[in-house]
Amino acid sequence: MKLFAQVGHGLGDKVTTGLKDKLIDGAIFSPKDLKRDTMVSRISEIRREYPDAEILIDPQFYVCLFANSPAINFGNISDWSCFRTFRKGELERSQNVDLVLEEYFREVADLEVTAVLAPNIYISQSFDSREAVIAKNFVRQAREIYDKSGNKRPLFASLIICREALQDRKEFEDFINDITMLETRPDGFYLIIASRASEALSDIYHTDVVANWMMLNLALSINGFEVINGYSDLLTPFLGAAGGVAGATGWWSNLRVFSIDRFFPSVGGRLPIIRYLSKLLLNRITFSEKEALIPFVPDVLNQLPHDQDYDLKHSPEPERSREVLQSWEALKSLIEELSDNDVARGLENCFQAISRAEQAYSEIASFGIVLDQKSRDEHILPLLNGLRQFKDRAEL
Amino acid sequence: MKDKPDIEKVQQVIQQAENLEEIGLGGYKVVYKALVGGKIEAVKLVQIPSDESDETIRDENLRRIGRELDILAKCKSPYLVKLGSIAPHACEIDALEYLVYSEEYLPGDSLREMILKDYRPMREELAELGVCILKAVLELALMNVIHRDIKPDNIIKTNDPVRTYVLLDLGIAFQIGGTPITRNSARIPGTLYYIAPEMLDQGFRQNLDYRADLYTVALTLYEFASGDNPFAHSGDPQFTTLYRIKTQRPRPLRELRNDLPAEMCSLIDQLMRKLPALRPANFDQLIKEMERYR
Repeated sequence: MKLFAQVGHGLGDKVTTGLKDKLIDGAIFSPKDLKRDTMVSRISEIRREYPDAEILIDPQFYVCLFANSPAINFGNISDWSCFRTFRKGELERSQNVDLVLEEYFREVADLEVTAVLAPNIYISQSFDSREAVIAKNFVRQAREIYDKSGNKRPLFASLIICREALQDRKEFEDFINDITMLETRPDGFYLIIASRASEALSDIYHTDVVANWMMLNLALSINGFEVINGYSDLLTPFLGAAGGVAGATGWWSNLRVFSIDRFFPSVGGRLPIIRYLSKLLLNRITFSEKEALIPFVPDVLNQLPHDQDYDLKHSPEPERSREVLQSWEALKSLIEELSDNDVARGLENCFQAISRAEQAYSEIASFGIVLDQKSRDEHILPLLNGLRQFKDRAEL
Repeated sequence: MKDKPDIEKVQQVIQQAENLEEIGLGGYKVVYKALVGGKIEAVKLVQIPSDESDETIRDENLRRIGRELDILAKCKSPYLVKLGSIAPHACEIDALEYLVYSEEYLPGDSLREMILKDYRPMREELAELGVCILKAVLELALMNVIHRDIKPDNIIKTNDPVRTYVLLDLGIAFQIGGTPITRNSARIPGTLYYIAPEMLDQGFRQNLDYRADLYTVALTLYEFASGDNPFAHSGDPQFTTLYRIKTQRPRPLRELRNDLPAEMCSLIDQLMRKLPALRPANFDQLIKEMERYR
């Protein structure tokens, strides 16, 4: 399984360092966060220096239905000549869907991306909705329109789904039965599961969400599609075990969990505390918690090269720009440990990783160490139950 | 068939056929082996159930039979039974209305007969069955037709090396996008022991696709290989069987046939998953995979 950088603002040299250190396999750029010209030149640079890197652009067309929200911030998406806003009713007409696809494919044709992610809208409520019908239409039409563009690079249809939609099992199953039977097939899917807010981790670490995100990866991969998961962060290795070929994460919390909030002004506040991703805990803890835990539970340390970025001998806190490198390194290593060509064996590895995390948290508690709210074990039970539900429903 | 007509009377009515010999009996159908124009064929006599108070029942049944024949006439696959030389026509015996037509006669045993004789296929034979029936289902799928009644009783092992296994009986085949024939949409067509789980859902016709046939192909392969239908046990009430089809995971085939390749067993198990989306549905890949074991 591959790991991609989910690129947002504040790119700096993070992606190039990640590629140089072989922590990531590529990057997914976002039109909102970089001026189009800057993005084009950064992509060219990366392709020149790292010809094996996979470079993608998330069209972020999914914000097109939010034009009426007064505070919406499209950022630099408006630099793209193909981007414009719509009302749902307009996209119910299939010729408009075709036009959006056609214009986007034309605009992306000259960019040095290694594969093309097709635009789609956001399914914000349920799979039994007008939005879902429009989204399926985008998926169905993508291949045909793309082939007309003459572009030979792989094509990925996008699916951007709110986590609530994943909670109605019947509707969800009808939806995946539908999209696995396409007459004109893209090479794969770019999947984003949206939370209500980037900080609402419990939205994503929810039994049904974990199980159904994995089900999507499994069903699509069984049917010969490659699945790239956007904003999958710590769930990446689990999605890989279910058949996904790639996952992505970035340096800000809104690049780790997707929320449409990303297109609205943030409430501001202080910069977040720098965190350390512990493979053992399957979670990020603050750098000071890491220091405090090492004498009691030494295995919270990953024993990987970027651990040294967190060495506090020479500075009071780690360098912020190094935080994501440590995350990528830990995730990459976790992916390697948990992945297996056989889904059932990969899943068993995931269960074992959760069990180790559970045990480590018990040990931490037994020493009377109290962790910050985000560092606690609240993700463990939904993960475990999500995996159990997935195993049962996937008949593994 | 209730009130099966006397064979002498049938012989009188079907004058193109000689030496009628009964070889099969269904709910509304008798199948005879007969000599037709010097060639042995399977002659089918299908009762047209009717109700004097409801003319539409007769029409419905006529349309169903007509559809089966239309589909058969279009099929080119050697793995699907072919029409014979008696063109479909109506006849009357003892004041009951029947439709008569013939299909090619396929000498050989049905898989059901082989299972009952405790016959267990070797890897190559099971793979050959998989390839033949998948190719038959592919041909139907290309015509947007779902067979809906694939089971050991409807597959003949022939002596012809070009078409080792042939799929019969398109009587309840479903045309995607066709006009509904069954007026009672709650009725589940097919043999209940060999029915895909999604066909037990309310309004299943809305979403039915060829993956229902892939499920029954796998169930047939599983039963032929192991001698066991994992959902239907003799003496069980029908509801129990249906409940198992909907909810119970069959024992992995490999546990019953550890001499078969693990990947082959796993593929058959996967095709029997409850959710159609979780069944590998790419015909080219499936056929290629099965061909590896021949």
